[in-house]
Amino acid sequence: VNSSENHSFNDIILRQVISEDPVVRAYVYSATCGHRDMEDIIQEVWQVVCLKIRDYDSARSFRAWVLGITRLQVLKWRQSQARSRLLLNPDVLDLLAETAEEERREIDDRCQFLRECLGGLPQHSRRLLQKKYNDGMTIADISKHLNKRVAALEMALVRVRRTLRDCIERKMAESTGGGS
Amino acid sequence: MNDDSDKILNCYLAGIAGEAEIRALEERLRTDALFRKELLIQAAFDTELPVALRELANGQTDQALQPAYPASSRKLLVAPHPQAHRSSVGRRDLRGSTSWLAIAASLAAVAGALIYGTWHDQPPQVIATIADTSPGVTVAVPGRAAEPAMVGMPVHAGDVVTTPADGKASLQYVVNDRLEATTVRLLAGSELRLWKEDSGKRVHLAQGVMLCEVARQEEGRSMIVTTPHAEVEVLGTRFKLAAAEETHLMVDAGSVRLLELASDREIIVSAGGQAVAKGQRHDPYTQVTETFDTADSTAANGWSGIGNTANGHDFGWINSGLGPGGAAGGVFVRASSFSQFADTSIGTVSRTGTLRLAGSLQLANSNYDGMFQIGYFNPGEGRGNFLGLIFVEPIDGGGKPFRCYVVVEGEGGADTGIIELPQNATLSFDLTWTGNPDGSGTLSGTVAGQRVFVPVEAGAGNFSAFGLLSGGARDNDALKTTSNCYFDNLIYTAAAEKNSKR
Repeated sequence: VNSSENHSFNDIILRQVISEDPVVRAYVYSATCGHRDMEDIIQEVWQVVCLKIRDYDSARSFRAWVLGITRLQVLKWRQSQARSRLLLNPDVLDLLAETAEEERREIDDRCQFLRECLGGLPQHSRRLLQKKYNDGMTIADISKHLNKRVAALEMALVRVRRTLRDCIERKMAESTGGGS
Repeated sequence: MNDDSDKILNCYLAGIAGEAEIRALEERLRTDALFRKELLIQAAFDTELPVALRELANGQTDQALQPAYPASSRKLLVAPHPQAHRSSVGRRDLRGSTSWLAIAASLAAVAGALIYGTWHDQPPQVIATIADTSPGVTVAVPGRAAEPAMVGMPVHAGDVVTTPADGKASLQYVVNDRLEATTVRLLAGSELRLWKEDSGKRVHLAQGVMLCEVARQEEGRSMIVTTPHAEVEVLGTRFKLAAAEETHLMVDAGSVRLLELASDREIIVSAGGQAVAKGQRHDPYTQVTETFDTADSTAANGWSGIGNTANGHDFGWINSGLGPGGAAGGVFVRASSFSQFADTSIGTVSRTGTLRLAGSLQLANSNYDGMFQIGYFNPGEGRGNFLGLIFVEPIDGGGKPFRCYVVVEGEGGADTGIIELPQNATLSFDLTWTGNPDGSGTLSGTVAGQRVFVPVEAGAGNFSAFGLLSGGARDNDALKTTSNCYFDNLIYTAAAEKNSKR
């Protein structure tokens, strides 16, 4: 496998593992409130993991170790944005990182259930989500495209998201034996 | 969570919260662990939703999104093992959201079975189906050009799925024409091979990363995943496996057994745990690749034989000039009930290693002469442990097809059904034996453009020579000649320690 950045194949694998990890993504997203730098931060996490992989103690959880590096990279990014008043304080980011580590299994499960629940949505609901989240269309664009009112589409989007969340909650309850 | 909290989190994650709202959010996050968890869950939902939607879009039967794999275009290939699966189109899928895939997979299997039935008794064994793919992903039968992967395309036993440096693919298992909830996601730069044995699913991850979700398997039929460094046994769980210079295992749910091949160290890895297997099993062999050149295959360079050496025959082999492909050709003469002509210089070839047997030949027949074999064996042991091809001449002369079997003999042995080969045509074959640490393995590839796959149970036995055999259990006629049989570019590759004499 060739890499323009002279990284080994192992490094490329690590990038995949890290960039695919829903907990890493969720933590970076929540810590940066979806800032456009999110993907850059994840890329930097990968680079640090590559540099420090020899220091990794295999007795520890690999994901916890990666999450620790992620936390430091987010803090570093936070420092570069010091003038912004619209970001969470470092102590809160630390607490969030702790919670991410504690809840990683549940987050994994929820991401899996999300896929199952999406499959159960009516076609028109999935199409709406596709246009909004994959095609990058604004509600106004979708409104023109589907010839529907903006307000109606906004409500539809809220309802679909709520349906998905309810479905995930139901599956979570079933999986932990709390379902009916 | 109440609506207000929901609203605050949505505003924050949408990047539209003001400073006062963010400070209020901070206060809540400092004191409320459940609220922190809720923020992370919301964030995971938002970041995973586009990914999951893309996966779903790639899995649609909607032609506008991505064309499903045209089942009827799949080339006809020889099936390996028993169990002719009959159609179950329309049965309810295990997972409602992907029922279209069940239909696509079933159609593929049925189409294959119908066309295949004109030549053989058994349809190809479909192991899985491509549920999602990015450009550049390929599915290859050993010895054939790789085909671009397409959604709905069946993956047969022995196929190799390869993802490029920037590609991904998802596979979903098919059991008795129905989709099973077991899925494998392959990340970039990965190479994976799937097959099944009576004792369960088998996967070999040669390199790369696989994210595996395994549905609960039947007792005694666990799924075994091997890498160059490790063997992982699983009954039902979710885990990630990355293989490169070493193998990393991360278990998300359930537990798996990991065997480090180099040390035989075995550990159980439970949910949340991870393990690393390093080093490959010590292999004392050096790879040997040689071309079978009949003009140069003499006792002086390692070839020897048992059988007819009279009348100018060299251990049963008569050089007779160039064959149709331009390489040396000849006639293999049987002198008694058993003859052999072999290169014994390759040393012992381990059944746990990898072997390749490839080349081309031409078969011709004027009368019934019996049978001969090409492959790896132990001279002096008769057919004993043998791995390769058996050719049986037609009982009548003119024009009738030869019969061929792809065979592993010895412990756990198995073979294909009859493969018919036309006379007077150049026929290529390319077979690869992939052995496992317990001596089980698969012999797969192509013979005359037809797919073959022979899964073999665990067993012992090595091979010390490559060559030709004549005679044996399937036919005991003596003093017969396999006439007009030319070998061109016959290559055999073995992980073997060469004898010092060469």
